[in-house]
Amino acid sequence: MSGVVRCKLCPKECELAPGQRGDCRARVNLDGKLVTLVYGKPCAARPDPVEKKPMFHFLPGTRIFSIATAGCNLHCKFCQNWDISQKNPEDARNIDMPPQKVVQAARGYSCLSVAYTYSEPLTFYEYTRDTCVLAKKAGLKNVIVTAGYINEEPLRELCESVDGANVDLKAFTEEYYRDMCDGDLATVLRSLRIMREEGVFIEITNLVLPGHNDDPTLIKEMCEWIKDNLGARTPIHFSRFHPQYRMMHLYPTPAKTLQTARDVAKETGLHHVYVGNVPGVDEDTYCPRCGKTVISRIGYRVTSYKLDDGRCSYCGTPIAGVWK
Amino acid sequence: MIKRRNGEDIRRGWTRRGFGLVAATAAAGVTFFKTSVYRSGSDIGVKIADHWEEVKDPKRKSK
Repeated sequence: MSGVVRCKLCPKECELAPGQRGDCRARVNLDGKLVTLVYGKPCAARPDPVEKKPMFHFLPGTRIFSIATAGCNLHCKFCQNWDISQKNPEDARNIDMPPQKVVQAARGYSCLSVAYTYSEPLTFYEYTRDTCVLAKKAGLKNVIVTAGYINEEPLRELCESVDGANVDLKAFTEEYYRDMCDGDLATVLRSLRIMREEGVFIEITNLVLPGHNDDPTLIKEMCEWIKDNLGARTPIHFSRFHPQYRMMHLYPTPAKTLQTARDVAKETGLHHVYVGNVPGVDEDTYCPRCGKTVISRIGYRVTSYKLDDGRCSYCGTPIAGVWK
Repeated sequence: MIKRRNGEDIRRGWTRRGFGLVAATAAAGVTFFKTSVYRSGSDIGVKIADHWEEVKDPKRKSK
């Protein structure tokens, strides 16, 4: 017996000798057994507006109880939550919150759903999955906000109790994923297809970094892939980058770059295109048939809602999403 | 010896305050240690993970 174990959660498949820690910082070989260090110990737990995830087509105007633990299996140089994602669990300020307590807290805050977010929920896989199962039994919905960097088998298992996902599609080149994130694009695209097959409602976020992934040709290619593989009704959010972590030298994404990305996505034929992190710009949902505004938003607040049972109140066209 | 008008040694009060200050600093230090170093170390949630296998013939090192 070598005592060496191989983690099969994500494509990195770290081989760990006793005492060694995985690339995600949250999984350790403890005496020949692989253990997670973050089960029931979130470093963040609070109710949020569901629009903050961002999920614009998922129970709009409701609150979602959001949890995260330390660690991540990617190391994006531009990470907006690097202070928890790039930290060892023992260095974070954690609280004791087993899955039962998460469900209780979600109900206590009148949330209709639970989000596994901020860092990478697939890194705290066991905690996410067990909480999802309990939440579902309690009548709550589950949303993962993820980079989608995971192996097929654990993802399919998780999808059984997940209702919605916001997947961070960071760019549409392997080079970008390799150089900026320490991951690969093919795995993320496979995860998106699996989630679609498993019936998880998907919204996509693309964080636009000026000069790195804002080439309109690549954005067009990405939008065409989304349209062909996930459907034109898949919402996409082009989010503004703010200097963080190892990209402090970069300037925030100009509004014009985000508008160009939005125009390209609309020209490609995607129905629901949003601009994120710029309050007051492109936050409303329009009916793809009659063009009228069906959901108006200011920031994270829903100001008008013109849907009847998921259909446009004006023309009756069904709008993609989870509405009840 | 410096004395007050009532005959009390004036340094006595300062000695008491000095001890108080040392005790308060020590208490704050212990509290800080417990809430930062000690507390965080005890706040991990260890559980056997899913999706892993034993490696009989290890070749590749972890990243």
